[in-house]
Amino acid sequence: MDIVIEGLTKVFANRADPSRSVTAVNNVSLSIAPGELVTLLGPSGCGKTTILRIVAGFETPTAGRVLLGGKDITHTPPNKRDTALVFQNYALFPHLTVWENVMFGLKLRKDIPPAEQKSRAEKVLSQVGLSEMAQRSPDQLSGGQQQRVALARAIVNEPRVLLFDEPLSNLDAKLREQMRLEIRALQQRHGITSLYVTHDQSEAMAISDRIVILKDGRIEQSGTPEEVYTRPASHFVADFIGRANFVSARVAGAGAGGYDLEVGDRTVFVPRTGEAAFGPGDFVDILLRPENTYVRPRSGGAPGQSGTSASLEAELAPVVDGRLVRRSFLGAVVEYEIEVPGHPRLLAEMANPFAYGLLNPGDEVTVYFAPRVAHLLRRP
Amino acid sequence: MLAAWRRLVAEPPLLIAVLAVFALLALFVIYPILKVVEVSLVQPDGSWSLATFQNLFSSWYMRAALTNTLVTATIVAVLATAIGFAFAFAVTRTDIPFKGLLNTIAILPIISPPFVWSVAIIMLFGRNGFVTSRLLGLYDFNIYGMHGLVFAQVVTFFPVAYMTLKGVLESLDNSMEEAALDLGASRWQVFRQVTLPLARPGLASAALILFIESMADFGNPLILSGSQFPTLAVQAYLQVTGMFDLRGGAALAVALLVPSLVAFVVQKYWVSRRRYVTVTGKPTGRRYIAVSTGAKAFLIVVTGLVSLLVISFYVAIAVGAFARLWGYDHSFTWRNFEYVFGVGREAILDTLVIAIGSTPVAGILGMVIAFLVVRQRFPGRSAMEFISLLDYALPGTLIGIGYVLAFNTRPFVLTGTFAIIALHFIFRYMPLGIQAGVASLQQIHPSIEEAAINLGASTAETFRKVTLPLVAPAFFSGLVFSFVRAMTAVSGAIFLVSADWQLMTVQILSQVGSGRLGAAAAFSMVLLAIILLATGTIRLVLGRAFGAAIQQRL
Repeated sequence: MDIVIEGLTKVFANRADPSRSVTAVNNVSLSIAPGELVTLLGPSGCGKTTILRIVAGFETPTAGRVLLGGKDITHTPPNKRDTALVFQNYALFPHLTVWENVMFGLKLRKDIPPAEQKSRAEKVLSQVGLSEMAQRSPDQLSGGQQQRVALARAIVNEPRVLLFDEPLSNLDAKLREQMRLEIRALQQRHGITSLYVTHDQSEAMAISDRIVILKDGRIEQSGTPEEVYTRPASHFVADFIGRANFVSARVAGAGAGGYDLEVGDRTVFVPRTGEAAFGPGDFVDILLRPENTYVRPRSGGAPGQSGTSASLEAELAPVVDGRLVRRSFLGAVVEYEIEVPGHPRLLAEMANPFAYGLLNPGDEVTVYFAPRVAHLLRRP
Repeated sequence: MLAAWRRLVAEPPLLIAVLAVFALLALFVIYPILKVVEVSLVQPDGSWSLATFQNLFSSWYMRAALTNTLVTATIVAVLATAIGFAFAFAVTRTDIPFKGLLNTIAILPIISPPFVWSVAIIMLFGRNGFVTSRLLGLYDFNIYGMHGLVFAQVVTFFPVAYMTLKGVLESLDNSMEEAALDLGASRWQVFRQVTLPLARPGLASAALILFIESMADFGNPLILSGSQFPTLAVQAYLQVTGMFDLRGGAALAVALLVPSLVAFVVQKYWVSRRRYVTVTGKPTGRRYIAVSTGAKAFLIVVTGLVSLLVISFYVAIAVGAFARLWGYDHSFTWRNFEYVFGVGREAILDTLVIAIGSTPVAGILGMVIAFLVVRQRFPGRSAMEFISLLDYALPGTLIGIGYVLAFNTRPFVLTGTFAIIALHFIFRYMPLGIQAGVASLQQIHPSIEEAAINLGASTAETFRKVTLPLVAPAFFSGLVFSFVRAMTAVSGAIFLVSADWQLMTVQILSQVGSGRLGAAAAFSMVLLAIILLATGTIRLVLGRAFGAAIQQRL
């Protein structure tokens, strides 16, 4: 393991009023394998940036330790750590040129001969496509270019660990998507172990080997993007990663393959997923992602209207009845909102809307889903 | 340009305001300055030449005054900037204890009369000084001269550098320092390669301001220079009041004007444009702790010693005010205060009347100019800004002599009146209101006003209900500063006082001159008390009216 975080806790003490002290990080343990990119994801105030700053050395933890390559670095000053941080606001030196910014860390190192320093800086600058901009000052660059300089400045030192503190939050949406691909490509090319902080779930999904979701200073769940999306450990994770519909149900019978669930006066069978085990009588929520929420007119919908392949079509099971209250046409997809009596509204998202007919607000509908893709959560 | 003219003509109220401001500035700022220059160049026979300067500076004494002033100003600028930077750095970049106290100590001298430290220095380090003769047993120590003057000016003016540099360091996003540290730089390397270069424009700016302040300083050199160390401001004063040589005084004032003007222009139009702005993003808001244990100890020693000095000065003034005879008999007495409230009552009342009468006018005029400069586009806008700041930037001696020369003949015979002192204060301290107003108006995005108009408010309602409440805190803080400056002003006003209209500062100087340190100390105490009472009251009243926002500004 390249980074091992053990029992990390950080309390920001308020000496004047101890009741207002904040536990930003609460007993967090985490390991990152060499070359892996792990994302800390969570809403603001969840402690993700504090963990990152503890790894970088800018904060001292109240309890716990940080190991880098097996060595305890908890109390090593930031300048003695083999980590490089890409700052949220880039923190480029405005009094230095792009070239001097990139050379800043290299010049401080006595073990690299100047000729090699130069060739390394040239190489990294060309990798981020800024060879032509070397003599500019940072304020003459666009936001995306500044971001690339910050990246080059961090990578050029070939640190053991790269740290990213919401590096894309100052860019516009299009550039953000492009830059996250570039960051991922550079990270994989150099094989640098990385810890990446963001509050943007789609960014986390696109870039990570593994996502760690934090809430109130604790780890809520850790897993690959696929795992946390399809089998979230809690309602919070389900809601935070993507959009979620929860359909209330009661376990009527539990078998080896799955559960018979009572939903209103229907019974549906959902196969077993995840580790959680339920017994008869337990109250659960069926997690339906909007793309696994199919809407058909109540009066026995014509097949194909849901926009599914024939094999999936056979799998679809009806789950609740409701009334369509909103239709939003978004181009590639159409979004429906369905009102189900005694239930939160459900959201359905249907791809390729023009291939199938559009439903209208006011229509009485039945909601279907593919049980194989659904996930059960214990009702809190 | 043409469009701007057209707009001006199309809007009569704007046109009238612009013309009125320009007329006032021409009469009360430009005209007196030009008058000084004219008198220094025109000979008794009416011809124009540099003869006055040649005669004046053919004497070694006057040449010495010129070099002394420049050398002192340079040394003070460097030393006081360094100390101000140490304070600002300690307060913004370290976790040393008693930061609040340091901040207070570094701000206190700003609201004190500019030469009160000289009085304290004589009490502590003079011939019968407490430190020199009592503690150290030095009976032949001579505080008068360059070292004494530099000492007094550094303590008097380092707070100015502190205020500037604290702002610079606070606005400097510390993630850049963290980035350098993260890239492997030591804390010292971070300081040398990142913090210092980024603060350099601020340092240059502070040093230039201090250079101007030191050159223009009148009270400290009058008290501390002694006869062996002539300076321009004092010689100009002696030339005018001692030898009744207005022409010579004017020439000395012009000698003072040139370096000040150069420093001002360099500061305003070159250095302050070179400030680095943080390239993007929001600052982290986290405090970067920038020092090693050794550096921290060094900062504690430096700031601690200076603080101790400032505190001991206050103590000396306070003790001296209640002592029977400083240096000999320190038994308690009210005598000094009886003297101040007896003989000095007129001066106290006059000072208050003039300060109270002139500050609101200065504040309103300052706000009008700020509004015109920030929110309106008209020909001569930047000229208006430059001219309106001139009186604050140039030496008071020059302005004072200018007023004497400009307003003693028809049609403006104002010599010896309330009006001449009040006008002097209005135009000299109006820039404080302008600066406060410009800063606050720039922060109020025009879209806020547009929003009010869009919601149906008229221009007048918008100004009254939106702009005014937002600008009010700045207006009143500008008012407080100009009040304090008016109460403590001396260098220009000393030419304008008369038997009818006296000023406390001038009284303090004359008490020192006649060796009555106790009375000077008591006068200083009363002056300080009035200032603290006034600023405290305004803070309290406005705090009620505007909430916490204003408390921080004052």
